[in-house]
Amino acid sequence: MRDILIVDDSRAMRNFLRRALSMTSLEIGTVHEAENGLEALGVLDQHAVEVIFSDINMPVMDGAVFVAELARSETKRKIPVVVVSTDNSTERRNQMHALGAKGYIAKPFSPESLELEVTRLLWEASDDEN
Amino acid sequence: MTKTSLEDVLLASSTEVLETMFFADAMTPEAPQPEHTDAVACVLLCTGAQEGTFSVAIDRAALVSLSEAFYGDDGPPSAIKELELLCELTNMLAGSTLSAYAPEKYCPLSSPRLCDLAQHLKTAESTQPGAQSTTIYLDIDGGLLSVSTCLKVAA
Repeated sequence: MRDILIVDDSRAMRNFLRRALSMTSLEIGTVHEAENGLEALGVLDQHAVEVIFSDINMPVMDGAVFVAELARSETKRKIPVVVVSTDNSTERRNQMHALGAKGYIAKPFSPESLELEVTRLLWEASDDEN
Repeated sequence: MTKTSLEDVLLASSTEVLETMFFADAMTPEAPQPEHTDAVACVLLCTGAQEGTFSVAIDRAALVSLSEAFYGDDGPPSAIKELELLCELTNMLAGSTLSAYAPEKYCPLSSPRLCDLAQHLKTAESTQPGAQSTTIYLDIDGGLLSVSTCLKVAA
């Protein structure tokens, strides 16, 4: 079972991501939630997760700053971050990857595409460990 | 791009969002001038490479239908959750349309906020020089959805 963290200021999107994950064949454990990057850093101090899904546009600490903060942390930098955003521009994708995001899912997305992206990331993570 | 292609992009993006995220069938209405019945509306602004306004109006019965599909088995959505969903829908439609219309540069979006139907109906009436505007209508389960935009390439 894989514990995950969803970071999004929209309760509707957090609910949808939970639901979409439950529609996949992924074995999901505890789903933690945070409304912004700062809150997410606090969650990560308390709980270990295997994948993080993060929005970009959020108050307090946005997704770009959050991903950059993770990349600076010795303990958290290995957790793969999947950006989930309505913004599918080349410029934004390149920016988030440069900051350290490992995956990018543009809305709208299906549970199938979500599963594919998570499977790819977990496979890459296990490959790195080996 | 011509005004027609903005309309095409808006229509294709809206249909894809509704089908993929809300499991909703969306059809172009047969009526030449469809009208809303008991609708709620939401608006946001975009900046960056494209500047402008996006607004969405939806009949309440259609919003209830979309909410039930989006939230799934979480029980009947409250009125507050339905309005949160309208804001999220507006955000998704704007982001998806802009990413298809101007895929190279990103356009920051403001937080969506509820507005009245009259304001939504004025979105596509802009007469700004160089601006392109359009409105599309879609029939979904429960009623009518309309999406309006007015966009201008930033100087």
